[in-house]
Amino acid sequence: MTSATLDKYTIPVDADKAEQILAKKKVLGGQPTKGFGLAPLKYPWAYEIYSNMRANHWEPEDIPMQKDVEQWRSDEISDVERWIIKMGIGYFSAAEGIVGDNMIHVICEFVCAPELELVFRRHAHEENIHADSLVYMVSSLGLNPHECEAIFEGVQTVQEKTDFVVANSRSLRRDMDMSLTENKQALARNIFIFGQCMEGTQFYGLFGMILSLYRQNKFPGIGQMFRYTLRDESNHIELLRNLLSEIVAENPEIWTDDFKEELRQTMAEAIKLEKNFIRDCLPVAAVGLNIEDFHGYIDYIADRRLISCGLDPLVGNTKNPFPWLAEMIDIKKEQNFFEGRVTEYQKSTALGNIDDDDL
Amino acid sequence: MADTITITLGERTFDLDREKAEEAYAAKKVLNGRNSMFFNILPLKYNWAYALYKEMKNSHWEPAEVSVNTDIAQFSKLPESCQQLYKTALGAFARSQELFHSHGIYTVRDLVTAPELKLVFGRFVHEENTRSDVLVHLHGSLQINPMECASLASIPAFTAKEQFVASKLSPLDHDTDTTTTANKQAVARNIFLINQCMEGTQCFSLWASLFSLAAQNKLPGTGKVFNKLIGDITFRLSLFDQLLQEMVSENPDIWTSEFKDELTGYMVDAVRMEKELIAALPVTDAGLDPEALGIYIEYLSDERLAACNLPRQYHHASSPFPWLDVQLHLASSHSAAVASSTLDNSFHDDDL
Repeated sequence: MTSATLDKYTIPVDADKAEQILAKKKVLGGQPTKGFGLAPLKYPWAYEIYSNMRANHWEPEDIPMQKDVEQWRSDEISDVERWIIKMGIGYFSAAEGIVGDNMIHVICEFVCAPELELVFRRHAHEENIHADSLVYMVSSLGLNPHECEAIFEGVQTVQEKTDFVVANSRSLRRDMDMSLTENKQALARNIFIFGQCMEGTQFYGLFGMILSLYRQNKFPGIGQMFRYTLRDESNHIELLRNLLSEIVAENPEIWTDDFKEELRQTMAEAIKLEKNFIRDCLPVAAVGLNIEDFHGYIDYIADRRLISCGLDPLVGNTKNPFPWLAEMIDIKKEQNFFEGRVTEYQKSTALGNIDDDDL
Repeated sequence: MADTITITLGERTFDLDREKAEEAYAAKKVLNGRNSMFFNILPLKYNWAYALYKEMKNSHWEPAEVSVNTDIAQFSKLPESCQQLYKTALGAFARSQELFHSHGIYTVRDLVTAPELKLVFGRFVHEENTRSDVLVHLHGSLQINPMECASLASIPAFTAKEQFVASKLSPLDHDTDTTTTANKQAVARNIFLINQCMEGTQCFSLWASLFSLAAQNKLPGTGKVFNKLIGDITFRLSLFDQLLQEMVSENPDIWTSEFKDELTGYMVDAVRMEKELIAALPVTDAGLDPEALGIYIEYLSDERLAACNLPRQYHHASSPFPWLDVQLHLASSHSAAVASSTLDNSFHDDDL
């Protein structure tokens, strides 16, 4: 008899059966474990991120919206600023659902280790929380939800962003023979698109706008919810980056020069769509930013995503034009920032009282 | 300004564009509704679903927060047969995904179209994780080898349950054409089998044994954990009862007497299988009379049937173990929706 460690727990296991469980676990093409197959862990990073995500649990209603409601009804807020909020709610109400669906109906379908299923179910659960937070914002401000949606109707630059991810996700909702290189690559591409291109890059245009308002003390409740959402997104990006890296380690044949270049070009497409969207829909000047810097920011984070996946950057030597935003989104900063408080999710209203000095 | 309609959600009110609201409302259906990418929970059509989601959220719990210190101190001092029963329960519980066919729940989520239904179904990913967290907490705290538990739960009575559900479920996937009566019935059949017959009755003799031990102040932490787990199951029972009723009201063609008989027959099979499990377990060591426990399972299954508007089969006048009703949230299960209907109901069909 031996034992397996999961976070703070040590669980006794049979050595020979533990070996069998480990042998069955693979990202793709493993064998499902019957019964309790978490211990021993083959992918400790997955359980570690899961524990971290669970400790970060938050509920929208924990965040007070009184100030936001007062501001929304007052003259101190311009129509352009209201537009940014509506845009954010409208965009993410579609995007969170699309990501959650992809986690449940694509990623969880294919990965074959209990700790991977566990953490991607958590990922989907967090998308549900984010979607619910948008319902909370809409209902607190008394917005007409159809107005948020209507903003998007007929806006081509939004439609193109949506098609980019949805077409990929839909094409993978079927039985796929995961022994074929092309199918492994198709899933790897999906993981790259959702983690690095969408959650990792394309979310950041609107995040930047809303957090710019937050920085000016506008809509503190909404800003706070988006900060929690960003903290979750940081975990999702890291999670999907790890998953991609495990797939490549277990299936080195997929990682050809052609495929790497294809992923780079996929990111280039994502950047193009995001820049078009920013130019078309985001009144960046209204929050004191300029479009060149904003585009530069997208180039900067996209390069970071590529490098983190072992891919060559598209621009190279980029500098972050918005260091203040980096502080809000940097994963390590976020974790340290919330450390020690996050497990007290029931008391997390206390987290509402964060001032700019902390950032 | 366009014609607006004011609706209330909880304490808040807001205005919807009447024309768009009517369109969105009309397009909402359990099956074959508008498959919008946008998260248009509003206007709410299935008030009960959003209310249930809120209740589930408000009942958020973390297994690791339930103290099992007493259990740790007691476990090795319990009679061997009680220890075995406990380990068998953990082994069976670890097979939840297979026994209760979690996969089928995800397929149904993919097929339903209204956003508030997707939202409440979305909770299930979290509840599946809660099951894993429970196992980590109990195995890790009590130092019980999960592989030993798996062996104990490898008895024919459990395998029979797994084979039963696998053999009766209809094949469904993302591309299933849900406009035909046969396929709509397939969705209803899978919902009923997975939730009412499997999750709602199977292994309850094991959970009852744990509650019986806890009532004697043996392993009380575990009793609390399972009480909360059954709370999660109770929300799902409520979700699927109501989903089935909505499906029947939107698709009356599925609710034929043959189909009702078929579903009722599955519940009778489920009761028989659970009684076979009782016969294979030392429930007397947990302080339960096997025969009375069998009657309890019948009583429980009648409650499940009645919630789905299906005829009761056993007609017991009262629960043989009223104390167990409390642990199993039986008294509260079907009132959950009623209690939550304080949500605004002013957005009736009549308004549109």
